[in-house]
This record gives sequence, structure tokens and C-alpha cells, in this order.
Amino acid sequence: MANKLQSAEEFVNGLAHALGRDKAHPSQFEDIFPSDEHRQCALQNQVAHRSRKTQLALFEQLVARAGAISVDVIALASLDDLAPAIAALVDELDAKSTLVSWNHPFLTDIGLSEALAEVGAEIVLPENGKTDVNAAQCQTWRRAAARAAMGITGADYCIAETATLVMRNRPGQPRSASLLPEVHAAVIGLDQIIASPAELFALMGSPAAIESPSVTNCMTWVSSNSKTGDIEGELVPGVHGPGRMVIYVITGPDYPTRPHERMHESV
Amino acid sequence: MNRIRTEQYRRLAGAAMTDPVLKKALAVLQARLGQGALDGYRELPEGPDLRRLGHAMRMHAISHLDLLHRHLARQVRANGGEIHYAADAKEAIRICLDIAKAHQVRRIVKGKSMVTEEIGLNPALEKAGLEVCETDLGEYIVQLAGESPSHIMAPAAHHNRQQIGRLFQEKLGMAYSDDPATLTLAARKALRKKFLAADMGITGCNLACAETGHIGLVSNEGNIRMATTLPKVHVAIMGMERITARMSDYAVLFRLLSRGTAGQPMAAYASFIGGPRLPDQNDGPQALHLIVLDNGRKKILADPEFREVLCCVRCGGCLNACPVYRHIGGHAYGFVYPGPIGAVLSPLLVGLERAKHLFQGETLCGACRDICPVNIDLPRMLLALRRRLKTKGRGIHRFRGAGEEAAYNAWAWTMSSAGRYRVTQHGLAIGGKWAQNGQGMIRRLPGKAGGWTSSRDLRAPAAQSFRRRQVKGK
Repeated sequence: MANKLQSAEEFVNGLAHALGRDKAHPSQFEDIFPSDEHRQCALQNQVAHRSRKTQLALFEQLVARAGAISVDVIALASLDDLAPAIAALVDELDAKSTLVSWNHPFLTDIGLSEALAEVGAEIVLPENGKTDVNAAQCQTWRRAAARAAMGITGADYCIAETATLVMRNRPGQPRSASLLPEVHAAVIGLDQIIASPAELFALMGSPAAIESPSVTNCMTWVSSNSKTGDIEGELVPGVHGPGRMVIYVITGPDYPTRPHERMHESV
Repeated sequence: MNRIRTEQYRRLAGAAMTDPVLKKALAVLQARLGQGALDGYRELPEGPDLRRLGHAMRMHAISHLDLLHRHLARQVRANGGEIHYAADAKEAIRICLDIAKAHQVRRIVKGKSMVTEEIGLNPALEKAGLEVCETDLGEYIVQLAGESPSHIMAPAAHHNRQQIGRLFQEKLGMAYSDDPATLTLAARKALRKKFLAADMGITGCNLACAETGHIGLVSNEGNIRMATTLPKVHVAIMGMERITARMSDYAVLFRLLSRGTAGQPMAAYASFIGGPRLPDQNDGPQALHLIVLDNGRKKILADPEFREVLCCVRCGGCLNACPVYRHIGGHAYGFVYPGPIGAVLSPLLVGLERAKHLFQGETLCGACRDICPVNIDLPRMLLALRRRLKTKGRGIHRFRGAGEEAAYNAWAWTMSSAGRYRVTQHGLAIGGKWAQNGQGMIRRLPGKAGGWTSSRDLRAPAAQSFRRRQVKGK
């Protein structure tokens, strides 16, 4: 380890020398690359004081943006409508019998297993991460996700400008749930829709986020289904990741707000 | 290093220009991606200011690369990853092999990465007995064909569907099909098996973040996510210039990158990877290694004239706008970086003399500068390379003879004075009156100038220049 540390110093000094400095940069990181506190605050306030009317306008923007890239955005009045909607989607897909899902406040106690059983499907959940997950459990999960016709997740935010679902790594919420199955269904609340990537980073840098790990060891942005144009420029969906994406948005006022913050409180 | 064939530019370009498949493919590619990028920029809420901001952000980062890397190293280690520094291709390969050995790796999956092509990683890994599988569909196709990629974004752009169909028939043993959806599904199935069985995933790095130690990676296919989630080890190799200061920079740079590459507001997937799996997580690699590569970049950094080329985020936009690339394709550039960016970067990495035809062969039309998402002035650097080549001397002939030198000197002398310019114009008009035929065309010019008229006519200069007519009020 000591060897490598020296190597980093050597490398950095080499760069300093190339830039015409005698030794590594004397200044602090924050001096040369100041964070724009003022703008961050303004954006945080913008989100915090957003009216329901503006929130619905963002929802419309999301629908338009997603529509342009063939991602379905479906409004549901409340969480009670979610289980039937997912079951209907599974039925429509004539899917194989296994689904995988996150451990997520939106997805528990909504009768999802029962609704799916009625259309001949079952759901597999990952370990919830209250204790360490061992290799065998990881393998079990991986096999289930690789077999599954659909993966159901939540998200932390959804960026309207780019139709981007922002998902941060958490116990019980594996990234492969939105990656291995052929269909990815995500559930978010209306107030999780934000305007732009700039707003996202402002929110993640906020004091409230400091208690929880702000970016985590893996943040994933999903902005469309998997696709390629590598053969003669013809767009083909579902290369490696899901070929189809559906985003359910709970637009009614009665649902648990900010689920990711709540999840961290309970850990 | 990957095999360097930059000396063969003229031969390779000449051959490429007669390839009808390539001709059609590149025309379609440029129309779709190049125009798509320009349209995409017009839709930006911030307008052209975003690209200016992107440029400033990149130049600021490059100018303080030492500070950024010092911070990055600290963060990566704090997050549980390991960071290594490779002076050149050989060192980078050695580090990679050491990591593979330490983790008993046998099977590797790779995301599309120009920097791994640059160092010739695949052949070295295979020589060491490791199985390496490219997973980006275009890279997978060229790997099956035993070729190198011809475009940064669309590696198999030089193939049509029939060729790919025959390739898959031969290599995958499937029934012939030239339907892209069928072929893609076949690749998906084959590669899914590879992903699930792989011990190590190797990717490049679009942009690392010094503030937090995250590696930012984008893709449309999902292969990067697969390669960085499923295998037990993730190795990311980055050119040392692929780093930005703050997470919020991604809000600018990834939006610009996505538009420059394919006119998309955002790529389908972006992964911000900060470290290996934590014990309470259900998936993810057990180990994360970041290899920071020099391989000639430090020398470029030390050169104020060419430092700007390090701002490049490898979107491939310049390839989609360049008229030269349109006609000669990617392989003619003889090294891993094609197009206008290759015409500047390859000579700086492999040597000016060796790669001189690359920057001499560009037209300086400026289309690359117009499409670059971070406003890099490639034409300026193309000219600077030509100047650099000339003034380095050492047996390089400046002119092909005393006559050519005299002609250029005379021209330079004439053009450097308004009075001499006017006199020459007047003289040309008089001369043109004598040299033209009945239709106002000059069919033959004397001496060396006859090379121009050997295959085309030259319109005779007007009796009065446009400026003179304006001044005279006609």
C-alpha cells in the first residue's frame, strides 16, 4: 500500500511539473473548484416550494419526453391502484411466471403478491439487507433476476427534462432488478419528479442528504430502454438491458412521501 | 500499444474511397448522428452558452489536473476502491494482468473503451490465456470479424447488415439473417451467458469525479451496467484527462456528451460508480480498480498549444461532421482514434512525422469545431501541427523544389500588401482577357499551373473586381 501511495504522489507531481508548477498544487480543492452554494440553495428552495400545479406541469413534461422515446408513463391516483396495474401489465405481456422486485415502501402491503398470483405470476424479493448478504444469497438473487420477465423498482427521483430515473444503491434495492429482466417497471410519487440534473445535484448536496450517504457507491440513471443502432443505424430495443420501460406515477395526494428518506430513517 | 498504421494513411484512404458499402454507411451515419447532434444543441434550454460553459469547465479541469488527481486518489481509496498509475501501455497491461491474477480471473467482459484499444489490451490479455469478450454490439461484431473499430460511437459502421448476417452465421452458427432485430437478439443471448459467467468486467471511464471519487460511465445498450454489476471484479481504465471536479459538472458535461454523440438529451444509462459492493448489498463487484493512464498525455499537457485537445470527451461528434472522414472512414487513420480528433491526437501520441498525413489530409473546413460539444478548436491545432512539422526540420522537405518555394514566397510577398494585391489583381484581369476562350473560360494554364486545368476549366477573372465595381457605384 505504501508503494502505491508514493506512486500517486509521483504521478501528481509529474502533472504539476507538466503544468509548469514546482510541486503539486499548493491550493486547496475548494479554492480552485468552489461549489456554487448560492445556486445550490436557490435550486433546493425551488424544489422545496414547488406548487402542485408546477409539479403537474413537470409530470406533463416527463410524459412528453418519455413518449418521444417509447417509454410509457402511467398516472395512478393512489398506491391502491398499483397492484392491479402491474398485474394487468404482466397479463398483457403474457410473461413467464417470475418477477423480481425491490424491497420498497411503495411495494409492500399493497397486495402485489396476491394480484400477481391471480395472473399466474410470483414475485421474488432480495434480502432486505438488515444483515449482511452472503455469496449464496447474492447468487440466488442473481438467478431470479436473470430468469425474471419483469423487474419492479422504485426510484429516488425522476428528472423530467431527460426522463431520467435516478436510483441509488441501497440494501434490498439491487441495481440488477432494473437491468436483467426484459421489462422494467418503476414506481414513483408525483413529488419525486424534478426538473433537471442541476436540481438533482443540488438536492444531493443538501444538508438533509449529508446524514444519508449522498451518492452511495452506485448511482444509476435510467433514461430509456436499452437500445442500439450499431447495425446500419437501425434502432433495436432490448440489447442487454430491458427492452421495455414503464413508469407508474402516483399523482394523488395520499401516498407515503419521500420513501428513500424514510427508508434511511428506519435503518 | 495497439498496432500503428498511420504511415499507410494514403493507401488506406485510397482503398476506402472505392468501397461502396462504406460510402453508403458513412453517408447514412453522418446524416443521422451529425445532424442529430446539431439539432440537439438547438434544443438546449441554455443555448450555445452551455457549450461555452462546458469548454471552460474542461479547460479549468485540465489546467489543474494535479489538484484533481490528488483529490481523486484520496476519495477512491476512502470508498474502498484501489487506484493505480500507468506511465504507458505496457504498465497498464501489467497492472491489469496482476489484478486478474490476484483474483483468479479467467473470463473477462469488456465495455466499449477507446483507451483499452489504444493500449492494445485485448491481445495482451488473450496472450496471457484469458478469455476476453467485447459486449458493446458494434465492438462484438468487429471482435468476431477480427478487426478494429472504425468509429467511436458505432464501431461496426463500416459493415452492412448482410455482412454482419454472414459473420454471425459463420461465428455463432446461426441460420443466416440480415434483420437487425434478429441479429441483435442473437448477440443478446450469446453475451448474456458471457456476462453471467465472467469474473472481471473492464470498462473505460467517461468522466471521473474528483470531489467524490466516482467514475461516470454512459451507454445506450446496458452492457456497461452489466459489466460493472455482475462480475466480481471491476477494472476501469481512464485516460488521465477524463476527470472533472464536482458531481454537479455532470449536469453540464453528460448532457453535452449525449447530444454530441447521438443528439440524445441523455444516454439511456449512466452509472456513477464509487466503490465495490458493501456487505449489506445484493449485487455489485467485490473489488473496484481504477487505472489512470498517461501514455503520452502528460507531454500534451505540458504543451500549451495542444493542451486543449485533452478537453475531448470522445463523443465522436467530429467524425459525424467531417467531410474527409465521410469519404475515407475510420480505418484509414491507422490508429485507434479516427476523424478530426484522431488527426490531432494520434500524431501527438505516436509522433508527428509518423502520422503527418492525418493532419495534412484534413480540409480545415471547421465542421468539427462547429459540432464539438465542448467547443474544442480542432482546426487551430491541425494548423499548429502543420507548423510544428515544418519548423521541426530534420530532413523534412519544406517544399518539393526551389520552384515551389519561390512560388510560395512570391505569393506570400504579394498577399502581405494591399497595394501589391491590387496590382496583381489588375494584372490577372489583363492576363485573363488574353487567356480566355470565347465563353470566358481558360482551358489551359502554362507550366505547373497546367495541373489545375488538366481536368477542368478555370473561369477568367472579371475585368473589374467586385470591390472596384462597388466603389465605382455600378
